Amino acid sequence: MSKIKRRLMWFAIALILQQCIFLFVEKVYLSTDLNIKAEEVQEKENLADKKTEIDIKKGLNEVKLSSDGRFVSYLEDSKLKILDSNDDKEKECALDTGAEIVFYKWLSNENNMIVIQKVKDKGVSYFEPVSFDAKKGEARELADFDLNKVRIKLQNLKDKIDDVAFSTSTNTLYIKVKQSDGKYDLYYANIMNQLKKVKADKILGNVVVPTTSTNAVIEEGSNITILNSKGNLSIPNVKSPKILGSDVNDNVYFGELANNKIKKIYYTVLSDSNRKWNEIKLTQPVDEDSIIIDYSGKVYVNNKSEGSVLEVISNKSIKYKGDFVQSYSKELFLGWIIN
Amino acid sequence: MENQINHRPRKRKRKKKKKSNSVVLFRGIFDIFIFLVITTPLVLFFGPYDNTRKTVISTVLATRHAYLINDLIPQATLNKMLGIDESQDGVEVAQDMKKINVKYKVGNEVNAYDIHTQRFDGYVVEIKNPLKVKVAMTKFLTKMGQKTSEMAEEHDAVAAINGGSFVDKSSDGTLYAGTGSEPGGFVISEGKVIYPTSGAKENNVENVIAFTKGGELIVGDHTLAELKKLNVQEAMCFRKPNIIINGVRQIKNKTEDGLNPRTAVGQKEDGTVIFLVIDGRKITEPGASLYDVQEIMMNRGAVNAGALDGGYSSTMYYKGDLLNSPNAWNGERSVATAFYVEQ
Repeated sequence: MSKIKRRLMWFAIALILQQCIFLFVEKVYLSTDLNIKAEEVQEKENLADKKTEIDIKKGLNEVKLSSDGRFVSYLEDSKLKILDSNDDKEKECALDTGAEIVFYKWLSNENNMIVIQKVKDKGVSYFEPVSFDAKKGEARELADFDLNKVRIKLQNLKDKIDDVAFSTSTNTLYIKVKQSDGKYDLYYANIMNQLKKVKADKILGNVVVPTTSTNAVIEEGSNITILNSKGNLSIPNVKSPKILGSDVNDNVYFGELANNKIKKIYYTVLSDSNRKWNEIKLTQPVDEDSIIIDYSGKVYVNNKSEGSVLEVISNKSIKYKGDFVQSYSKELFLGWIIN
Repeated sequence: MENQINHRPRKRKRKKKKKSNSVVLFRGIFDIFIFLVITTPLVLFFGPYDNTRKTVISTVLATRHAYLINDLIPQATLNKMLGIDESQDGVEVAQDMKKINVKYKVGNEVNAYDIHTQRFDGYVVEIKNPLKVKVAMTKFLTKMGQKTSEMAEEHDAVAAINGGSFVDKSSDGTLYAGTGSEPGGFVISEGKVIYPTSGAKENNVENVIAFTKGGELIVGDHTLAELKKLNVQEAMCFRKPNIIINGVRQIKNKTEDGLNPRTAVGQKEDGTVIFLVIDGRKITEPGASLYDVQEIMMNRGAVNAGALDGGYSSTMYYKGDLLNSPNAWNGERSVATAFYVEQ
């Protein structure tokens, strides 16, 4: 008897609690007519003219540039820092306590980056992507409509993030995880931030997402496949193709591999029903990693030993000292570190 | 001795009580939880809390998760719950053009305002000279959309907001992954129909946001033929409801379309154009209902006002920066059309 009484008492508490919340939402939160007051925004001073040179400290790791070259990011004492060249102020991408930054990449046309952190929750390790807005200095989580975070459970503590590929236009994000046995898993987060494993235990090479598409183009073994379509992608007269990159105009770039070097570049819009393949011949075969496809659609070849970068189509060459960092789109200039 | 004897059983008793206390508490919390899980949806759907019910239902309906509700509740019941009277639908109030007297046809004064409330942050840009407001459309028409800020920069704009509806599919057919490659309805720029590029249907009714050659804002349902008669220079399409017509509030339901990020355009009596963008879809800031949008527009003195595409599309660009913060990892969404203010 007393048991039933006690339960009824608890139910009563629950009922009161519930009704209070409903009453609050109904009568206070939703009903209060909003006090609308518009404050005039004071004009900010114009920012300093864009710099052509950014000084950064020595001994930094993973130095990368934002797509418009305004921000430089690097790892210092395993913290991710971002230097704004407009005001020379340094921001830090602050993460949850205990989280470790394992990967980061700038988005191709935003001052945002995807940062992947390794977190531990109840003894289980996860890779968790967050996005960092460099202008605002804010990190935000990726969560679906039910506010579940996007996270990938580590199968083995030796698992590594190998790369992320994305199209910001279609809200498509792929995360490539390298397992300790050298095989890869590929995860896909769609526009709703719902995560799905799309490739498991495969030998995977480069992955890109064409700008207007959601399906990744993947080097799988020695073939090239497009997710959710049958068979392999064949490029006319190319036996051993490699994926080089993609650009704003929806092109995907491939290289023809011969003796571990690339001598010809092919590109096309894969979503066109009649694909037109374009060719770029290189004057001499080069290593795959010295070809840079910029998001703006420019193709560069980096010549490390000579210290120069060649823009292939215009045939313009730029000399540099030190280490080449990367290209960035807006003003067609290139970044490098002078030691 | 006596004391000891007396003490022992008491001690034991206390211990027992302590143990059962935590069990009771745990059971109690469990009971509370069970009770809430079972009864909360019932109270929400059938209880006396009209506003809360309407807000929750219409917020979900306004997202792409509308099926959660549409599959469960028949349309007629839903309309009843939301207080929608279908017989009233389709009654269109005609705009009285005499209520607007465009005062500034030269010069270009633009002012920005912030709005902070407990449910959302809003951004207002007011443009004194309505002739400066123009339509921009993605330059990659049929291929992909463009970010509002990109279109703004290409037109060297002072300010810009995202525009009308668009086809929400990626080039490989994934739903909701649309880049804004094609607008919905039609688009008019500089007095010419720029979308569809050919064979525009003159007599299809669309809900428009348009500006005439004299700088008057036109909102509501119109055909292309009607707009041509009204000498419209700039136009794009979205969907009903209208917000304010002739200074009269068009939205009676306080929770219309739920709480979401919003974009809207309005015009004051002296011709000043109001751009409004509201942030949302965060736990602390769910966003605004169309009623809230209406109240802000009334507060700013709008005589006519209509809504543009909200949700993740909502974007406000002002003097080189985004004022609002689109709540997605990839920042700003690409869209098919935008309104911008030329220099």
